[in-house]
Amino acid sequence: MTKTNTATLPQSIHSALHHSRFAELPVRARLSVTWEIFRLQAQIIFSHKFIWFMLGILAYFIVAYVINYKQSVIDRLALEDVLPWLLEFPLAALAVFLSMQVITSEKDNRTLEVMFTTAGSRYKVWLLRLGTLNLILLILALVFAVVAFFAFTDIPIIGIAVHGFVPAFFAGSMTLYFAVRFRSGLAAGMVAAGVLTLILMFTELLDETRYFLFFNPYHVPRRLDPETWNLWMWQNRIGVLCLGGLLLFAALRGMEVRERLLK
Amino acid sequence: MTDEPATILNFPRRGGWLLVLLFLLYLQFRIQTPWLTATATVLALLIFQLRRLAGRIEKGAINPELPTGRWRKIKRGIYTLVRAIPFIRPPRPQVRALYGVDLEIGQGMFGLLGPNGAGKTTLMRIIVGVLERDRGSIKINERHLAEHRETFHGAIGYLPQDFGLYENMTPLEYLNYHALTNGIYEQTTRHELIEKLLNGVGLWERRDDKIKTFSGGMKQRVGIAQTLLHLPQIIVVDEPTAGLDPRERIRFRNLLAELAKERIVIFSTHIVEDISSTCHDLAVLNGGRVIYRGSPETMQQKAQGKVFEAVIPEEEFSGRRESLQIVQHSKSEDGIRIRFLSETPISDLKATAVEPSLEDAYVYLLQTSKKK
Repeated sequence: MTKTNTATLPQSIHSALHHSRFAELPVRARLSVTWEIFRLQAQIIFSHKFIWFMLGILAYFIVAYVINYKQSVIDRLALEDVLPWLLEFPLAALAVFLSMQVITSEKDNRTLEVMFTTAGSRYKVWLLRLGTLNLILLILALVFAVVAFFAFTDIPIIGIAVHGFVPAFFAGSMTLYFAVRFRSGLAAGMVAAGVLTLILMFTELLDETRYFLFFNPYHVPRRLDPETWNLWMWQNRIGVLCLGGLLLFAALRGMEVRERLLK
Repeated sequence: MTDEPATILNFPRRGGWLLVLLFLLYLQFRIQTPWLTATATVLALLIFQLRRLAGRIEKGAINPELPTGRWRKIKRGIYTLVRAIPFIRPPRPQVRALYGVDLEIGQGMFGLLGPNGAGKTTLMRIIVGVLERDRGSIKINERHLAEHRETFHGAIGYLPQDFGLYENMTPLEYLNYHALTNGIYEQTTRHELIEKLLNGVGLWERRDDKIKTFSGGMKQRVGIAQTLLHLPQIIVVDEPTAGLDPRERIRFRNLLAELAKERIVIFSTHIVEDISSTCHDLAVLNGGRVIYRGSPETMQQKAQGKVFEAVIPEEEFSGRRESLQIVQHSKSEDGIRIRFLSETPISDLKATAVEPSLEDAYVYLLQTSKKK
């Protein structure tokens, strides 16, 4: 065991410290800090069996590829099928899984109390965590879109990735909100999965309206002209993002009731 | 009818089941999917039943910890589930943890002593601003903590009782993460600071090892390094020596004493030895109330003339244990040597008054406060 040198601890350390505001840093330093924060936050998020979930998704893609390959050319996945099956559903599932871990992992690690005493903005740590989480989802949406482009059919990669991310953002925010309300990641995950299943059960009723969470802009109903569908697409996407944002805000407000979370 | 307010939780008891029935009928007529309506009906019935069960647990009609009968294992599982489901579980009773605590703490090491459940952790959490107090105020340099909580978080370092670390990180990564979240962005400063802190707690050589490979004491030292990251002038540590081996405990106490030379260190513990060797000022908390405030020496004097030692035959020991407040006992050649607390000398016992230790005084204070 190394010998503790307590004599070096007091004032000498503290006099060396200088707090620079993020905005005051040079661009290069800002990028370096952003990357470092993203890397460390991702390390925390990824530590909880995330790899198994990713392997599950890889298996899902392989199975989808094999099934698709075995189909006759006319029955293979087309542009409008790629969005729900290869992006929206796996990403929403991933968002639920990751969001239910946000609070649970901190509770399991017993790091919640220390987080509550972080200096500065009260929402800073959570916002950094959630920002990283959504950035990971967006990156994964792009990766899935690229995989779909090369393995399945020609698709607009950026557009489909963004459309795939929107319901995932909502699903993640909803799960986080439930996790804060219930103080249990597992219960939140179950309820969020229930809500998403319920939405999917009503697909036939909703999929040709602007109110469907998994709105598919590439599947224009015959009864509608593309312009109206495009307008609905904007209304839906903005609405879902706003609703997701509201749930996120409600979750952040709920996180301020520290006593409940520490129980 | 009960007095509880009408909420979604108790609507079945208030005839709300009619609403549910109407909803199910509407669902059937609107969607015309029998299996969906049937699923919704089963779900509603299940929720009603679970809520009823939660109500019985709440009223004490069922003891969820000790179910009886042939299916007790299954019953216990169901009770556990009921108590975990949000919106269904019975409400937890409110506990008042502190009563009129009034303390003024200056520079140096301040000890907060008290048995388990005395309210130490609640007080610590309120001091650092993790919990809100119901009434009263906390001031740091005449400024209210509640109004400047986030500013003061920069001045307070807190090591909770039951703290954890990100075990898949190295201490270097862990401190780097906390430095960044605390706004220490400048790379050179951050790295120098982390190096000095890790050297200070004797972990620089282990900087690249995963925290999960560390012993309890080493983890505590990572914790204290994290607590010192943002230059706190006030350090609050809640039972930091619990679970450490004696060598680690001494090392940790010395570390805190060193830090207390230039700042306020509030050190909560239930181990008297920790306080006696490091604190110049202390408070004893019991049942949420401060029962003593002052120096360890004055506290010791409180038990002056109340501590006795005697040697008794072995067969008398169990009887004496019932009637006396024995703080220590050991086997001797003549029988059992006991050290006990008493307001007056015991007439049928050849006991001699001895100099009280801090531990004697602590037990004496707890005993007298209990009597009050």
